[in-house]
Amino acid sequence: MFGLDLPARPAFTGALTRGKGGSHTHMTRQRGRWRDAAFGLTVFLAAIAPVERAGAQDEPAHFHHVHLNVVDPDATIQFYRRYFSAVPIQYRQRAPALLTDRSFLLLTKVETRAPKLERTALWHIGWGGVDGPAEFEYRQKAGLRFETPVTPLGNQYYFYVYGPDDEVVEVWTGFHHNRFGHVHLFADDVNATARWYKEWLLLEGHRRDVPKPTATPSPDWRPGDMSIFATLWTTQVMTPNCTINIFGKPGPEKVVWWPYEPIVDFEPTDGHVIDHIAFSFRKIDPVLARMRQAGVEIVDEPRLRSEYGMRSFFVRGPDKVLVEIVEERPLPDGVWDE
Amino acid sequence: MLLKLTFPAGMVLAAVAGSVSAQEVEPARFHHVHLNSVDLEATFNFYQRMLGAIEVSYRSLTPALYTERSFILVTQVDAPPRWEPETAIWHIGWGGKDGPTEYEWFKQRGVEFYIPLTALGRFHYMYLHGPDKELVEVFTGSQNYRFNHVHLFCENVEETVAWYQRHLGLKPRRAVLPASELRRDERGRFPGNSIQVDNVGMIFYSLPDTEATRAWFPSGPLTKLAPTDGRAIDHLGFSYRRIDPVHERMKAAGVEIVEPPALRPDFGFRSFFVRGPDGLLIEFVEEKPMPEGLWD
Repeated sequence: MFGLDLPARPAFTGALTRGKGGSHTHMTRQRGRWRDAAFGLTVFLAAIAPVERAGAQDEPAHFHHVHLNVVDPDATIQFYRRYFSAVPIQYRQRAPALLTDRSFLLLTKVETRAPKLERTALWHIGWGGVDGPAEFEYRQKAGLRFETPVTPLGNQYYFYVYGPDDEVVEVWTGFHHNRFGHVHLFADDVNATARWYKEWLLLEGHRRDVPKPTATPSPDWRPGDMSIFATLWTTQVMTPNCTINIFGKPGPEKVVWWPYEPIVDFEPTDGHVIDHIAFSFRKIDPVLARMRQAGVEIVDEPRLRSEYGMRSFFVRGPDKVLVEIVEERPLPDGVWDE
Repeated sequence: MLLKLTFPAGMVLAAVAGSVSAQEVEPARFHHVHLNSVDLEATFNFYQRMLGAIEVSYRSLTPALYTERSFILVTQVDAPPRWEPETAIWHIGWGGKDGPTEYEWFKQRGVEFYIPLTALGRFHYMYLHGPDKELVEVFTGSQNYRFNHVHLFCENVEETVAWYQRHLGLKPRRAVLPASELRRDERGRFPGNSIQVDNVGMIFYSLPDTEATRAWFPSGPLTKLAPTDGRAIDHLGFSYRRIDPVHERMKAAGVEIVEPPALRPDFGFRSFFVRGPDGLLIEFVEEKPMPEGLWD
């Protein structure tokens, strides 16, 4: 719910001019700077956060992939191709995968249905949308199953679709696109979780700690009423290509967005339908060294994952989320590296 | 409009392949659509906010729009470019899901239309004007919001498609039709053809050159195509990992080279330009494909 990633805005500081004759596309302009903007969830106002593209050394992690455990990879590929505009590709020419603009969905085939995520800190993955009711209806007609039907919130809508293995996929209409845009996490302490991602993955966002609200959700809450935000403990961090929303974990109060039992202790995400989330750096060894020195739990040492042809290691993130760190260049920029 | 919807039902596909073989030539990858714009900010805003393109900095040099696996590159011009559909590029096209609600959504945001919402079977199409009045179709057949096609006019569909097959190694969706099937339908259309290259369907139509074609081409009969250069949609770009052999091959085959290979400093890539069929300017960029180029 409520995941937003505003499109980056250019700040035009130079002029592109067409040359006369000669060079076909002659331009003079300064290098474009850009700004990533994000909505602050609690106040729901846009807060401008400039992202300076520094050298590769202190470049923030890019979001690399969501890793699903699925019983029928073909069904999963067709589902995301058809309903979420993902592009089927062969990851490194060897593993069927889905391209989601600047990141991927990678799949592991499992024999029996992986458990759902409702006791883990990984709540759902989210796409943009345009017209909530129409998009809901279109997916309903197509026979999709929903955890939460289309629900107004302010001027926007959200709904939760079940993927083929009961993973939860949000559609949130904050933007006129249907790109993959966010991962939604729960946390014991949203501030500690956000700080972890900022510290180890150099993500933007979460400029200051946010106090846990004392107000509890009203049982009279009606869809569309923005007052719900006063009861939510929430923050977010951003990679250049994906927003990580973090909510305080569902407590004993009945809330409209959580139809299950309250979460007391998180289970590790490993083995669930969404097994883990992955971030990438151009070089992972320095990242590993920093993490190891600071005592971050290394779940699996760096090695070549032959099924995907990529080098990576795994760490235990906050709230028992399994996090993979992949050695990979960012998309599309990495394609231009020499 | 998707090509398949324009064919009379029951039309038998010709089984005979064309005289040239696609296997001989490495297939080109779709690289970009190049626009001329008087107002870059308006263009970037439009394609991001209305059509979901992602702004990137192309090779950290120049703002560009990333559309699935290819790009929209933009050149600023002083005078408004001509946009009228009188060149080989009729329009560029995006998918849509729900025509009526999307039409209202666009209208509320001040988008101008060349053709308003129009039903086509169970789908809808509409033609938006981009910021420089370039034509952008939204067609709900694909049921997503992706950039997905370029619609082209040809003086001779068979010859044009054969040109792409011969020089770009791109195979058409349908083998060339026998002359006996080249009849106009009730709206004045000949059968067309298409080529799928990466995320982009290139759709080829014959000229809308009769009064009957006014039903879907309101500008009136178009009998001659002007070169695309300098228009709001200036040219199309394809990519190869190495362009010099491609340049040599095309030169040897008699393709008109408009500009030989050179570094384009604004974008940091090498490219050359040729005159394609129907006056279409085509750029060949030395670039690795998306996303596979990451893994080279």
